[in-house]
Amino acid sequence: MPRSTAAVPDHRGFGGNRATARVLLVLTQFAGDNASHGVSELSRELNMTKNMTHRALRTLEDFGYLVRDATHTRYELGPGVLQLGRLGLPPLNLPQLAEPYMRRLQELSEETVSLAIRFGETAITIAGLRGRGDVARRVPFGRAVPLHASPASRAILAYLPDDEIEAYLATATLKRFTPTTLVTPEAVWREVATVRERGYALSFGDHVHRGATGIAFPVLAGDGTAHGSVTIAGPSDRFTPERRLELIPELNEIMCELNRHSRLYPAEQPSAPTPA
Amino acid sequence: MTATNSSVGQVFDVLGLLSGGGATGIGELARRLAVPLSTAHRVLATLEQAGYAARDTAGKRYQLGLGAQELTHALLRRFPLQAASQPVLRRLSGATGETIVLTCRIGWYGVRTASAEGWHEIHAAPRLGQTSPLASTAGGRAILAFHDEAQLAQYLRRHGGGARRTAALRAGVAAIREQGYVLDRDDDGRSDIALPLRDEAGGVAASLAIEAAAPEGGARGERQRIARVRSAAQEIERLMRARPELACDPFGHLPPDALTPGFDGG
Repeated sequence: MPRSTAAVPDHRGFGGNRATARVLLVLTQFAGDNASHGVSELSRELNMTKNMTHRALRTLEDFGYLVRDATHTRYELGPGVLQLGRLGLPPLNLPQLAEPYMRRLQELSEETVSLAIRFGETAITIAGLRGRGDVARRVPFGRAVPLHASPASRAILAYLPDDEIEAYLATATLKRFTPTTLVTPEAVWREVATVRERGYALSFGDHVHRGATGIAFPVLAGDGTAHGSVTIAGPSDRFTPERRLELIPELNEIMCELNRHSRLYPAEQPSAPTPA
Repeated sequence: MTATNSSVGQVFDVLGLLSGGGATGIGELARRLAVPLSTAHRVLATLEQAGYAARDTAGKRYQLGLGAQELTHALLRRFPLQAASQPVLRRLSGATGETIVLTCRIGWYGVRTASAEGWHEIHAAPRLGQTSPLASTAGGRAILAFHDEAQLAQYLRRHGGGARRTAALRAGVAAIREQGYVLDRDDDGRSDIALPLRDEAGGVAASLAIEAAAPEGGARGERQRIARVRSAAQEIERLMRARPELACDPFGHLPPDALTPGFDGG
């Protein structure tokens, strides 16, 4: 998954001083996975003249944000960047980090939005915002659901490394909650592949089968595993599968922003020691 | 803070103020930079559009934006040891319950490059990206102490302070060399232990530390922590011998005096 899904902003659209906007735009290119950049390649990518690009790079070098590489021809991030992080990034507080994004998801969908984290072989709901209508899905605070059932669980399971999924499927009894619960390792693996491909898990009545429609997205950590998952769900007669389909692009956009934020943090350690 | 007249200079001055922590109002920023309110507005709008400043939930005060955090992380990714040492850090933190930190050298500064958060109820916050002069943290001193005499003298000229402080630093360095590790205990009971990570040539550009906010087990616990960090440090050193590119210092081609992060730290 790319680190940022946002399109390159156009420097001409910035208010204020354009030269300054260009300098910041050039700086932003260094936040990606490529450590070093050259003048020609940057001017091509940013649709700026070589002269403009060169001036922006020199300015960033003067302020210490960039340094030349060992060949002296390309630029890399420099120690000036350190002042931005001088206080350090505080450890992850997932409910706090997710809250503004969950609020936007709830405003957009008007349905209940909940946050779940993995606890052993289950996913537990730890936070949520109730939907707006007179009838809405309950936020199931504290409810633990095995990793193979419910969208919230499957969105977490699918982003575990293959060997951990293998280990779970080898030892867990895949309890049947409803007629549609996935109870064979083969069926769960197929669902894992689907979730990975789509980027979200859909409800199909496999845990709660009466009257609810839902969709769950992973909240990703730096290593690509999930810190947890965010579920948007509501009564099926209002939040119909068609309505859900219609909303997916916008829900996905908000979740991409949340993931851009949450991916700055490494996966959390299990909160208890693993017995030796 | 450098007062600059250019538009770009103002942008970096504001960024510098925002990175001091907390949310700041536009009026205060304008006052501290001695610029008109309209200038502060313009500068913040530019920074906000580029993702380097963000408004708090009330929309009134400004703080550092996500773009700034992403740049910090991109800088940390330049150290090959960051990713490679992560499994060792996690195992050590899992075994001890304490926070483990990898510090890497950039010029005369130590940067918290990788960390694993402890699971003990009370534990040190693993603030990634935090930067300070080498002598001011246990992890930094474990690097500084193994510099050669010429480098040490160069560091002291820049960061040594008065004669008294310089003498104390030198005595500290001698003790660390003899002991092989740094042990910091503070009045609140916090205990940090740091060991150098030596590359194949014997150079030290990184260190491994265990930071116990509420250490357990008294003197015996302390000995145990020292032994555990030592064996984890040896594990990372073995990785560095097997893959020499891990020891690479991304700023090694530049003179340390030129590598200033734009603040004095502390």
